[in-house]
Amino acid sequence: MSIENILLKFLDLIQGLYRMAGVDYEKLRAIVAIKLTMDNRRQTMTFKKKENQEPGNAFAMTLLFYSIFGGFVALFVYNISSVMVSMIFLYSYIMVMVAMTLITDFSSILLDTSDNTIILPRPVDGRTLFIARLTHIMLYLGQLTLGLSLIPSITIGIKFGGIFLVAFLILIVFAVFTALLITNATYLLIMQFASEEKLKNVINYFQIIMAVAIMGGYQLLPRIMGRFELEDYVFEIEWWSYLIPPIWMGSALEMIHYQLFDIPHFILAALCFIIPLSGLYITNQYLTPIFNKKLGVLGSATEQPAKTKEEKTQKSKLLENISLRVTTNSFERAAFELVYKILGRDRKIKLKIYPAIGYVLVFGLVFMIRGKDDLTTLWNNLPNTQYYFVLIYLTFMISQVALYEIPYSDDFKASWFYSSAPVDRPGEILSGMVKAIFVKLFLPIYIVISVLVIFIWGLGALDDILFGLLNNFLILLIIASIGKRILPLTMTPSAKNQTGNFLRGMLMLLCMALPGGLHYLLSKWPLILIGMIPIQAGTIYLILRSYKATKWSAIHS
Amino acid sequence: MSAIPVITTQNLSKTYTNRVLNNINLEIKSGEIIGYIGPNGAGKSTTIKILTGIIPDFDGEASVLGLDVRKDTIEIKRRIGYIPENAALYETLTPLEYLHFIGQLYSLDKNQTSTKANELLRVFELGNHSESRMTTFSKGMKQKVLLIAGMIHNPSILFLDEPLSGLDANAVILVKEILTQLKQSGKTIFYSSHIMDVVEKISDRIIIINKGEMIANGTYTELNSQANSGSLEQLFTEITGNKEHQSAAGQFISILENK
Repeated sequence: MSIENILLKFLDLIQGLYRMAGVDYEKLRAIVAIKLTMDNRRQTMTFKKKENQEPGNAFAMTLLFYSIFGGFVALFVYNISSVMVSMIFLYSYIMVMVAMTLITDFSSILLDTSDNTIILPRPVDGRTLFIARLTHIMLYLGQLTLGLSLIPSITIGIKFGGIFLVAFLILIVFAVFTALLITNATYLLIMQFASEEKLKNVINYFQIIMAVAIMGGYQLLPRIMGRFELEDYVFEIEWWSYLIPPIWMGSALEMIHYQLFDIPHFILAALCFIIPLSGLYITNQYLTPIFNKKLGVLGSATEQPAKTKEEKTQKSKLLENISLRVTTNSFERAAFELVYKILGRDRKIKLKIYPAIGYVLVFGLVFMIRGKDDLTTLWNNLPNTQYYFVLIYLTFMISQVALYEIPYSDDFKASWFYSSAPVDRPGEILSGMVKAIFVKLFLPIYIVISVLVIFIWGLGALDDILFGLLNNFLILLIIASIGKRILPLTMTPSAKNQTGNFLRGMLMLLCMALPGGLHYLLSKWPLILIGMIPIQAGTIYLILRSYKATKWSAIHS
Repeated sequence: MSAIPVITTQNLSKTYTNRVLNNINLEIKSGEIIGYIGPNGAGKSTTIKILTGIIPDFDGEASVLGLDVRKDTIEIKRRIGYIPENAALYETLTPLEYLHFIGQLYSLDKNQTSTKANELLRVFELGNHSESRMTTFSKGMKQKVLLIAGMIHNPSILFLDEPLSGLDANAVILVKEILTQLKQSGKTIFYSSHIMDVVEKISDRIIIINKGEMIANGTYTELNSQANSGSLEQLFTEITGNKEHQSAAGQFISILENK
């Protein structure tokens, strides 16, 4: 029996509940079944499944992957002595993962306008459709939660016993419901006040922040936690504890474990059930009609332009001014302006590239928080270090990610004009692309970093900032020259894994290390460093000239 | 032809941020084929979406098959068919899987749906593709699946929004013939399109809307006698006030030639 059938059989068992909520169960089952089939055929953000991978196999992989994650968390939680703290940590982890998956993998499903033309014209009532969508999402989240809580459940069973384990598992169901309802309510709230486009932008930025938060959490949490000695931390219930769902769950379990039937514990434990159940009732009664009404007009409403004409003219004038200054002919200018605009507008490309900006911040902190010193000591000692080198060259990560991602686009078919336009030297397009990446993404962040460096290390670091700026462009050019030369937005994203090889990667690493290393050596003699700038500029000119001369035969397609 | 009106609207209006439909009054009788035409953005799709219960918020009154569009949405949906403008399909499914799903939403018998779907796909020359995923389908192939999905439950009224988009010449002739025979069997067809010659040939009555307002309503002969035009295309141009095509084309060429 396939996993889809098992899930549908499970739904059959609880069909009475659906009927009680006024749902047409047969139609709900049909919708959920078809959505599950499609899930197995689509690529998720988290797992890039192969086209014809067996569904059962994919499910086992998902379970295994999340179980490993859960295993790490279980190990960490096992060492915390306070029941409350360990459970808060565990439930926070599960709820954040659930919310994150909802936003990254399910935003498109929740706001899928294809249902408008496929399901809405059929005799399916709004409630059935909405609950079918929720059920579909809950089933997916159920698999995720099963994986995440598998190993923690075993450790909890061993450490705290059977009754505690049962309570833990029941509360997980409510925790997932709470995360789902909060996310849904947030979407509905945004939909009330914002246009479809704005909502999609908000989700896009949320996805970017989430990607950074996960990386940040993974890298920074253990380092910061280590300094707080979480193992022996004792949690006190404060007024704000009532606002944080994982604390409700932790408190309920502490109440059961230590038989603490005081009022604060009791209220917190009650919230575990009251909030998700009343949320479910409110969603079913009041929010579903609003959601369906909104969904009906998604994609069909004639939206007002978000920006005034004046704002748009100002923006396009700015871009025109920049492109006139940094490009030398119309082909290069066209590519520069195209890539510049796409980098600021295409949500999918932004989702792939913009997290790198956050990673710069995360890694900047990771490199800073080393050793056993506390955060204040680290901050005070900063001016005595040469740590600004790390910041100057970490920013390169943004250009590197952008350079890697920009050849790929879902709209790759729109690149037909490269072959129909009279482009003699495609190198002009490549150079326009590299310049756009540098100006649009790298420069703004580098300016912020420069201000920070001057604030901490003083004006003495100015020569390093200038040398670093040119060096960053030089490295970008070298990497672009060594790498496969692909015109921007011309390849299907599925072709990505076929590019690049180990040797090329190593060569690129070396090319990044050499100019950086040279900078570090020369920084001891500021005058020589400044004297090297014309040589550096000359090298940039020569490489750029050669890159611009790229012929069609050298273009990878 | 029976004289019972199956679609009626009174002062049907719709406002998003601006008014897209303004006091549309329709009375469509059973067995009629209505050609509903108008320029881009005239409000054709919005009218259809209101009548099919997809857009629940509107002003004025609307009834389909004697049922109130606001109150009896599900019953109306059960008895009508809708073929949308853009070929929205779950493309990761095969045509058979998709049509089976649609059959379930109309509570059709599983075996009957499968048999019917297979036969209809074969008529549309998709028999060999019935178990291939639709991701690789051409626009015309998807449109054929969409046409079948809109009619598989044998509806009394058919709402078609640009149904011929992407179809090859043979398929267009086939669909035209299907629509004519559906009319003969008593179905009502609400047909919205830009392809004037098809509208001209199959419609009993033509309704023209422009900027949300109904500006013409009558048989082709009636409308033609009022405007004294040679074809529906000319009539359309005349009525919607876009008479400047020749001079616009001239301007276009002269701009091109002056760089």
